[in-house]
Amino acid sequence: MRNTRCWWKYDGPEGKQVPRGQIAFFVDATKCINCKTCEIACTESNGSGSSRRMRKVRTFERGDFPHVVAYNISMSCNHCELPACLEHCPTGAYTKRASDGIVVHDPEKCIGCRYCTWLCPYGAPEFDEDERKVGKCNLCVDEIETGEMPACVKSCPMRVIEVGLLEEIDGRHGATISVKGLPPPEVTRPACRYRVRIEARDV
Amino acid sequence: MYEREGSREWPLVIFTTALQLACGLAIVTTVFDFSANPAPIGLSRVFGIAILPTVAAGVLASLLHLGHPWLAWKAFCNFGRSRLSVEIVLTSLFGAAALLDSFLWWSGRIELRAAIGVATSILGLAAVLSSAAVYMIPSQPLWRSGWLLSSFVGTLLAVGGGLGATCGAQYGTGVLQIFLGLVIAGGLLSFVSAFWMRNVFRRLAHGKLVFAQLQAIPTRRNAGSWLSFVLYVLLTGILPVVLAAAVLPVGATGIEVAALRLAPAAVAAMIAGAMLGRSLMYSTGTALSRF
Repeated sequence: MRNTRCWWKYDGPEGKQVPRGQIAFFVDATKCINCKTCEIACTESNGSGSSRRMRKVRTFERGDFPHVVAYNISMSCNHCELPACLEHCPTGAYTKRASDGIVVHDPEKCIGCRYCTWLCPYGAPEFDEDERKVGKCNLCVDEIETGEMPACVKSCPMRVIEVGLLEEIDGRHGATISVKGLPPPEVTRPACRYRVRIEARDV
Repeated sequence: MYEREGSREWPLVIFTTALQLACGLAIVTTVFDFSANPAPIGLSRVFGIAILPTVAAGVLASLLHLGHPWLAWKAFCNFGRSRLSVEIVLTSLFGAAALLDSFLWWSGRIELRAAIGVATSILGLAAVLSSAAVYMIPSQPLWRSGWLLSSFVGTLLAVGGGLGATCGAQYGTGVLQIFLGLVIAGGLLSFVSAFWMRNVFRRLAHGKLVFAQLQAIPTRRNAGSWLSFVLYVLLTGILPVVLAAAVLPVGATGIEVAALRLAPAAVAAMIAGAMLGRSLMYSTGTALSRF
């Protein structure tokens, strides 16, 4: 039986799950088969419109024949240490929670200026043509607070995506944010980590 | 997979170009006021009155970019941190100064007009510089370069100088030559910035920054983008410099005729070219490809 509870938290007052530090996604891209189940689960769970996907599986193809490499990266918001969306959103629609480091977007404050879609190097915030507002992954914060895992984690058939404390994830074998094809991490210092094949590592 | 082109963002193209045009008008009309004969005559009065509608048209166009334009007032909320909030505040202040400046030109009062004109010009310059800063962000390496600022200032100088040249001869040969000098400076700046932009695109397209690689429009085999780039260089870089350089050495009797004949069409062409260049810039503003 798969564990879908947030093991890194402990029970706080009023039944809420209290975090112990920055939480983040760990994506083992070496196991990803690009089935996009995570995308579908995310869209369904968050009620996103058809024109917006808060989690995306991207395929990167590199090299010249016969030395070619392809890999799939499932990515949503990286809940960065220095989130550019938060820094420059003109309405202050973004906040980074002090308790667990999740970068949360408040749709009530959003005016649909789309500045954050230019600011984020990872393309996490996306504009919804139906809502006329931007949205992004809030790490299923409502689920997290009740001790449940985010929809993408629960749905992945290959168990590629996990959520945990960054300090624990950072110590895992192969965990990195320097991946060929991704923007340099020093721009926003993403909290999420990825495990990729050696050819995909940007050393 | 990586060939997604960003939107050309026409509301923002109109906004930024109108802001530069309005700032150019403010500077030119202020120069009129400091000339030996500051009485408003014909076109110069029209230019003074046109500052406010030009800013207003740009601001109204920018609202069309928003998903919820009626909530635009919320954009002031993050003034201390957000570059976009700073731009909006400075543009609003420029608009307020333009209201006063245009009113003084409309009413024909010249007592305080020169001082108000200086303030309007300074606020206009600040608004244009802040609008360039909005795009020079770390996550957009194609934009985070001097070419973007050069192109904004180049348009301001070339278009402003061109407008001044249309009626500058009324204020003396010296004033007209100042405007022609501005046209040449603006044209050269635009020319340099266009090829600077192209070089940045090419350099980043072959570098490790994939999110830049995905965007490099002029390096792609895209006929529309190439045509935009060529017209941008011709209309904002080459045309103004050639025309202004041709008119500059003409004797006092020929200056007015030549300037009046060529300047309006040249200014219209420069504005069209600047808008094409700006649309090309916006079309490169995308993050990682979705697919």
